[in-house]
Amino acid sequence: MKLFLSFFIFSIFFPIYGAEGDGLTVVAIGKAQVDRDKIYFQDPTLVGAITEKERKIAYELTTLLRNDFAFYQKRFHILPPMPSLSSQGLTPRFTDWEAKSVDYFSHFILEKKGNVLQYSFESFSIKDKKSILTRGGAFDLTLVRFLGHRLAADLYKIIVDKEAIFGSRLVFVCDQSGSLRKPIKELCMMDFDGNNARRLTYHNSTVLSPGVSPDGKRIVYSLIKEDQGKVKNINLYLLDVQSGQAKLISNKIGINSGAVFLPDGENIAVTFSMGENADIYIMNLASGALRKITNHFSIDVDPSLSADGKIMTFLSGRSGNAMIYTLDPSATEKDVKRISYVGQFNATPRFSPQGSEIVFASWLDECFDLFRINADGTGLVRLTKNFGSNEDPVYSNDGEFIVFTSQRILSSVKAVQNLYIMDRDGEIMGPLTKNFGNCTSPRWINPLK
Amino acid sequence: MMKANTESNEVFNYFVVSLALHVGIIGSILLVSWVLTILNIQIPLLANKPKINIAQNAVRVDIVSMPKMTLKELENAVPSGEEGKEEEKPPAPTPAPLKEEPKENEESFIKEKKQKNFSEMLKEMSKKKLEKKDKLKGMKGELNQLLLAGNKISKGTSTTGITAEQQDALSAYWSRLPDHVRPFWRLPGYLSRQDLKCRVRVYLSQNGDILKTIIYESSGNEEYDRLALQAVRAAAPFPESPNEIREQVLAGNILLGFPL
Repeated sequence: MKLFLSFFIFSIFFPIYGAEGDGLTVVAIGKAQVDRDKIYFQDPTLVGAITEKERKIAYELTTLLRNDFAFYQKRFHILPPMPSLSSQGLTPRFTDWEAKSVDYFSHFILEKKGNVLQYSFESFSIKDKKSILTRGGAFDLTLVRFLGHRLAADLYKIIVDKEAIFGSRLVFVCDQSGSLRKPIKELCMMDFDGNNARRLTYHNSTVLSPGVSPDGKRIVYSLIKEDQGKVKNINLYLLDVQSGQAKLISNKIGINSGAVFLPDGENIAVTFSMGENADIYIMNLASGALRKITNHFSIDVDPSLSADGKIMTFLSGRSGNAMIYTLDPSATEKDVKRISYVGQFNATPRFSPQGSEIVFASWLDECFDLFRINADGTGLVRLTKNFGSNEDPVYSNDGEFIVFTSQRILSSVKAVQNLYIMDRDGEIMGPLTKNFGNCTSPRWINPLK
Repeated sequence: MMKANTESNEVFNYFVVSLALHVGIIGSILLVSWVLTILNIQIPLLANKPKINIAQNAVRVDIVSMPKMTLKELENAVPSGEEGKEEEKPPAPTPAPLKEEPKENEESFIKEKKQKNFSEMLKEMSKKKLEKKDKLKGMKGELNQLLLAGNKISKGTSTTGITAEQQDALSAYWSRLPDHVRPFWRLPGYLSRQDLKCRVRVYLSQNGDILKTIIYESSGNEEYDRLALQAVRAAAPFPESPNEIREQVLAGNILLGFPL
């Protein structure tokens, strides 16, 4: 009887609370379209006896601020100058800008007191009706670009809460000082936007594949040592950027190249052939101690590490063709995983800083083009097409941009290579070098802290 | 005899008391249930959480060669549905062909036959081209949807789950909703940079009008929730639901995930 009653109770009890048991179905709508933040940089306000040269430089700084933010064109809409709405003081008329759906307002004032130039810069959030950044101090006419990039980087950091590329620089290889008879390729450096280009090395030889330390103070690179016009060896050098001093760190027989720094800044991942098969090693810069990372009878080259140094991608011929692989660099041949399964000839795989994706060059339709693939081998997409031959891609430190080498054939004996910048989805912004010889092997340098 | 009667009376009394107690317990449960239902209160331990299914299909993509189209080209590609609309454009006026007019009474039977064959051949050729073009457009549309839709149900070679051919009316209806709502799903820059998500429960009439929308899972950010609701309301009317799923749609069995 009790059993019967228990069943009776359960049969009544549960249907009541299971009434919604039919189930709900979640339909994922996906990512929202992002409305770009509207940002306005007012033309500079000049106070005191400002000369024409000083006026031009103040305007150059405002233009630089607009140009810097224009790199993040998917995030920001840069409004053109609107003199009728300009504020005379530092504080904007919030209601006017709110009516125009402006999100951020910035104002630069240059003031001359006696012979001393002072600047003040302030940015406001129109939505919150408050100041979000204030900077000021002595204005050095020779450091205007440095100041402009720093102001832009500070403002970007406050708005987006991420580091921008505005303080970054690029190191690259350039043949400007060479000739057809004697090609010379040296290491050069410039700001991220292509300005302030300058030469770093004077070997009068051929520099290859630079790698920059995480603090941006040292660069490791390879140098082809020639003896009476014949290649003798490819040796490894370390350059101190500030002093300009370079020292030989490895001259093992064969290849000593493709070096990249580990996040600790004390070790490098580098390809050594030692007269035999090329493999990748970890080398301690202080002691020169070596640890073998790949150990395969085929050639393993082009190491690139994620920002935390936990995964390394490299190019290997172990499948028969040049394919992209990843491994755990903490031991030899640990967790080797093949990433690419297609491509006639793949080259220069480079990790994004987050380690989530790899950009690489691949031979297709009679030239190299750039492709992107997720670190797990999914999501292969093409980034460049009908844009010359594109190689040597490398991610910016925030993972939003890719700088690469693009070659244009001018005649049967002449071609020109320049550096270009695009966003990670292949939206090309333009060239960074022009009339600076053939430029190759770009690498980003983190802003100095 | 008396003893037996007393015992049977005691058993009967126990039975009556037990029955009364059980009826009382059942009655109380029913009463509490009724009150909870009326007041729309759910007790976490007792209430069965509704089963939540994710509307998506298993898709296997075999990469057999490097992609020919760039990511930008794929994003700019016109969705297949819109391509269809383009094809409905009235045909452009054909220019007068630049050829000699045949003189009257000069047409021989053979010539006529040849001309007829040639024109037929041209027609056949043009048909072939059109077929090929249509096929390409279809493929492009499919690829576009596959790559752009994100978690949208797409055709593919399934190894598990329901194949496109096996989709019933329900999943076919679900699959239309992301494209329907996404154009209205917009966020300001500062909100898009936060890792937020919410789910909106939608009750729809058969003709696609919104009967009710509620935030089923909040993002914790009032404005994000408001913009998700705004996107749903702006997307109305929704596609008309087929008869087979009318009850489920009316009962609000759809949760729209922003973004998942």
